[in-house]
Amino acid sequence: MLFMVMKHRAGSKEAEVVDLAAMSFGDEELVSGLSRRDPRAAAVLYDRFGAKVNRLVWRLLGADQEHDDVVHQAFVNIVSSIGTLRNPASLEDWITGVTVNTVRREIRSRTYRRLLRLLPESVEASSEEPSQEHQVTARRFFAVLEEMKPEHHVVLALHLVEGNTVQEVAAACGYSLATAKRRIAAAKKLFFRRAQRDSVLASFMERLETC
Amino acid sequence: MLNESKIMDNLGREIREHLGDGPPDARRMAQKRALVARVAVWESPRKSGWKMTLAAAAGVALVIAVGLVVTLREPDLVPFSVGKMQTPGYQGMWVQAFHDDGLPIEFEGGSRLDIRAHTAVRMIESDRKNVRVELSDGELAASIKGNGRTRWMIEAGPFRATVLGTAFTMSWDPKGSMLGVSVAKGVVLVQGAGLKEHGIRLAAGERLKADGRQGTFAVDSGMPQAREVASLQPASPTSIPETEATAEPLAAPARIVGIGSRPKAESAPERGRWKAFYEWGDYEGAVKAALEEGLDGILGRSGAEDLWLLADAARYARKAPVAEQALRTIRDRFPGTERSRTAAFVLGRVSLELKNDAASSASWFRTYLSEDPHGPLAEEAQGRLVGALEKGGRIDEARQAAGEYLSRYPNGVFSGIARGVIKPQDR
Repeated sequence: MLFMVMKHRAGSKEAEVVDLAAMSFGDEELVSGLSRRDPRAAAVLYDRFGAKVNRLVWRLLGADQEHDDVVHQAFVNIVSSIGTLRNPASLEDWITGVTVNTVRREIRSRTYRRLLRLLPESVEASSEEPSQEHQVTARRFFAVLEEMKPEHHVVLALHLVEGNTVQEVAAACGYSLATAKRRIAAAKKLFFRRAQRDSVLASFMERLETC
Repeated sequence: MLNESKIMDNLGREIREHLGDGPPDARRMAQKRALVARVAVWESPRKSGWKMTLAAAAGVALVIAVGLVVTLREPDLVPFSVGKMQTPGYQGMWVQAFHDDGLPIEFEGGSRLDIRAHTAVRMIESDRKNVRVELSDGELAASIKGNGRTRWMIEAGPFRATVLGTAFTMSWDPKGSMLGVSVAKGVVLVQGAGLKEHGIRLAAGERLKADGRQGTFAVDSGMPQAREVASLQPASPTSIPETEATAEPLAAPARIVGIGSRPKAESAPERGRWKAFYEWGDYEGAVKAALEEGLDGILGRSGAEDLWLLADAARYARKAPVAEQALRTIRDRFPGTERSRTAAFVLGRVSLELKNDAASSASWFRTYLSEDPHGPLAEEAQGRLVGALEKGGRIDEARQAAGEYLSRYPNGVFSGIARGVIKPQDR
């Protein structure tokens, strides 16, 4: 039985509704519901995997202005291709894979759009306050990533920012272990070279080197 | 000195620590709403591969045609959200308010249910035709904005409240099988255990308490309001919108309008037994008892008040011939009285709503207007006359009647219908 309950978040006056169904739906039940396009299953899907998908997209693209659109597209892709999931028990890994693929397509699409001048060039960081150093660094980090191939961008963000092991990167991207290793190594090298040309990143990395 | 790889690992960790896990909760709730809304309108799983391609190539025109049919056949969903964070709702959802503040359920179009603390409801159905909610336990306040199309039903145990547009509170105690309904605005039809098929119509100010186990009920009218006579069927284009539903012309004084238990055929006295059924809210039973008793006898000896009750019972039971006989008898036996004039108006409604006889209906509304042109039902009679004439295909007469209506009641409750008849493109 599905129940929505009210609870108050710590330190917040705003009430939140939590679907206890997320705790009672098994993976098979959830997959079956999504196959039927049952909105209840969609709500449960979000309750259970919303945080994970958000975190993945956030760490792969940074605090991006199109973040919510990409997350939505990832969930739409999850629901629309749920029929291709063979083993409901591997739902979480499969969702990771679909999300990573969605981000990869988004990066590729941005590359094309940038080539066609539909997207503005990245804005150079110049006058940010010192206290915002980490924000600036993160912005520059993702700006450099965006200049790289989508494959390199994704593996590097998964490995460095999300903190995935090589095995996890391989699983998320659908690569063999050897391919994942090779791509991570190549991406690291490429990124390091390009980062040296960015004064903000180069300075930040120099300090990391000495500490 | 660190090597490149180590520096990169440290850089990644720094970025991760300061980047966080994602956007704030408010944005996440919007994401969830968007996802549920998207899936709710997702009609069926897509086929993949060559079959999909073949189907698409073969039948673009067919798809359009089928799409139109599906659009016409399948009712659209009415989106709604739950809670202050407006979590998207969906059909089949259970909602329970544990917190003392209760929980709002807000529907597109402005209708809302406020479920009280410790109340549980289930959203059984939520489409443009019907919104059905099960009140499992506790109390809710409903504020329903009618649109003339959507019928709202709140079910509680063996009871069901049906409305088109109104404001009321409803409580249900499943342990004691006790129902409470209190109407603040509009009309609520309560049906179910002991209340029989045609149920009890509650008007503003009336309160119902019903015991599903004992089969007893009491209706307490706190103010001089009348029983509603408007049909609770979804309105047709020519029928009045719910906001125009008006009270029975004969206002009843503040009183207990119903209390007791279902009469038993064998225990009730032979003569007047139909009235016991009427008082209990079993209108079909009342008509049946009247026919068994002998309709001619009742019509011949009953006073205007009883004849009016019999007409009411027959109308609620949708027995048009009996209603007509009772109303015509009032006109024949009590000519020139208020009851007689009002009977003409009600005959107009019986003709239109129960017999679908637009010509007869228009004739009766005209009769009322000629007998009581400034009477309490004059505006309603003029407005309904417009609808009856239009329904009967007498467009010119309908336009003339609409013009007369608008000249007398430019902001009246039927003004929208009247303007629509004069300028159909404005509808």
